[in-house]
Amino acid sequence: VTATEVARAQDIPHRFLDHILASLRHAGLVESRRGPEGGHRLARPPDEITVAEIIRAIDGPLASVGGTRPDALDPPGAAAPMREVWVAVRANLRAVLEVVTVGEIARGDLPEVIRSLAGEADAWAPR
Amino acid sequence: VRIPARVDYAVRAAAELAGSGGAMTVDSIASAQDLPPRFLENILCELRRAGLVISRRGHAGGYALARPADDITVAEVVAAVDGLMESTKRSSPLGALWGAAGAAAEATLASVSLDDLATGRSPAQWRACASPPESTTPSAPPSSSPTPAPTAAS
Repeated sequence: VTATEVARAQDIPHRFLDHILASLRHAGLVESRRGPEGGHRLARPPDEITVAEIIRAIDGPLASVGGTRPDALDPPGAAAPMREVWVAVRANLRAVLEVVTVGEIARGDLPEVIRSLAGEADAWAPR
Repeated sequence: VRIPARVDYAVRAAAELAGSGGAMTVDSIASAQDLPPRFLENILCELRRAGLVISRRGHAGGYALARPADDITVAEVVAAVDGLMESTKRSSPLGALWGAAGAAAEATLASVSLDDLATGRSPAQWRACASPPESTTPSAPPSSSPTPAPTAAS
């Protein structure tokens, strides 16, 4: 598909989308061809590309705290155990984002685990 | 998923208050946690609005936790300063996915109280999550004093 088609279908600003597609291409997730027959397509089957790969391609590490990777944190004093807590948070994020694929999203077919977690989301929200 | 510095700072300030067991001035929290005082003051205001800390004027004044440290979870502190993934959750048609990711993260944060931090206790629940290949993770020995566990090789 062309960038214009993607932009329209997903309501994404065109300029912004170009940047994103460039990052995805750079990460080997998307292939692009120029010319009248050109456009962009996934480099691998959608069921083999996880959301975590996309996030890493666009945003860097899956989780960062104030720009630092959780394992590199070193909070002083009483906050020292927070490093371990943030590492645990990252592990939980991985468990979700490394499981769900682009194909599942496109089909609206999320794994049962994810659905039930999402169902609980409101229960966890403290306000 | 970028967790903003303000979230990190808020949790550290709250942990410091839990460790001190009493009131602290902005400057003493800032120097104990190596935080910019101006920014910290801002964050403390938000924590106060959320009812998590109280402030007292006068020469014995400062900030203190509004409730016992074992009654305040890290998740509450995070929520008070805007939450972990509020922006992503709102903006995305992938609501369910972000909802699930947020729930997974918040479950961890809701299982840890400020008292757990200040006393270096780590509930088995999140210790298990954090353990895999992270060799850098120090095992915080359970200590009865509020003295922090020495941070291992970094």
